[in-house]
Amino acid sequence: MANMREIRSRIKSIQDIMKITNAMYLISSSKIKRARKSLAATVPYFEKLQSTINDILLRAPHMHQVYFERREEIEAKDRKKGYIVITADKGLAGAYNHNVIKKAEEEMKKCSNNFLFVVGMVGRQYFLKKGVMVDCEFLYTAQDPTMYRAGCIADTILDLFKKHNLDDVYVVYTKMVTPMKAEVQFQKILPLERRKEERRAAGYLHAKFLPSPEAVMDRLVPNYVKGLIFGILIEAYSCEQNARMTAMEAATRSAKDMLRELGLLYNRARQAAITQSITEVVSGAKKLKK
Amino acid sequence: MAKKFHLEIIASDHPFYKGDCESLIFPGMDGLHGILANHQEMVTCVKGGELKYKADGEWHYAVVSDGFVEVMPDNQVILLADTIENPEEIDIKRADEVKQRAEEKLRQKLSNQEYYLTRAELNRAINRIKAAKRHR
Repeated sequence: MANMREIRSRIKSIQDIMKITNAMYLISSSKIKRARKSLAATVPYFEKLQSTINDILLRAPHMHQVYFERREEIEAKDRKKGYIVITADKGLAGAYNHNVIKKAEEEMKKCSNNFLFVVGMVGRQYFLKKGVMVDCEFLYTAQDPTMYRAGCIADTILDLFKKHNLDDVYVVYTKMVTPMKAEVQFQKILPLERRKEERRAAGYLHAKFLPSPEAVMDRLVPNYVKGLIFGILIEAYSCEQNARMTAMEAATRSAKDMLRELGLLYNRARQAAITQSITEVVSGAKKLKK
Repeated sequence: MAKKFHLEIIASDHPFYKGDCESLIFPGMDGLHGILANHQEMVTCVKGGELKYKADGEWHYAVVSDGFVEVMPDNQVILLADTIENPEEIDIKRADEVKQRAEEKLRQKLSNQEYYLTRAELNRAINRIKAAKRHR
């Protein structure tokens, strides 16, 4: 039978950890309310933005524009690929960070010229420890996403793309499919692709771009990328809080289970100790009588 | 009775308007654009400024920042922008403060990027103040 003191110290440490997990659960459950609200407010924009861009790309005429450069002359192995990876600032969020990082690593294996732009401390530390090239000046937090921050990120990425420092840009993030289910998404941002064949198949005409397709795209693409990143940040943030909430809830629950079991063990050990000492006293007394 | 088209105005943080509309006028890259029903398919950008749309025979106003407009073939128009506000909601005092701060910042030496960001901020503040004052 386990030592009473040992059990007591385990109970104590589990209780202490349970306090932490419980507090984190409460924090994330209050944060998630705000995150959900901003998600609900942004989802119409985010979805409409993507469907509208799809539609615009479907109807866009041929044009020479930097954001449409596919740079096919560069061979697949020499292409400079940028990945925007969105992780959390802190751990203890279940598999949330792990899933994103795993997906990013999986994609990075396909190519040797990778450039990482990591949002959030967890992913950053992970990749730095692994010795992967991480952009050092790309320091953004995943907390409370704002349009301003999304604009900064978009500016950096677009600038690098324009200067041919990046040939393809992808984003890895977590999307909330249902409130209970999150999924890692991998999406290409740049270069944009006109969908010529689909347009011809659907029999659409080219739309008119005022004043000119190039001028419109010059302004529209930065705006689109900014909006897209904003939506992605919001989505990821609310996923993070959700993941943390469920993880902490589970942790608190299993801590309670463990406490119950240990309580039983402790009582058993205590009773055994009492029984033993009674036996000792009684047998000692018997000895004296004789 | 003027012909109507379906208009959707969506800001990044909330859907602003969805419904029928007779006419839409917004600030474009090269001046104001007007859209009526059965407009040709078109894609263009919105510059920060004031837009108005006529719904139920009445003009409604809003302050927009950068975004874009798509006119779709089935008489649908979508306007997406970073922010859209009702003139009544604007806090003139705050906008004034932002304006002053931006002006002060512009007097100092700034990097190119900072300069453009501050300029944009200043323009936004001026637009908001203008629109709010006009509809008081």
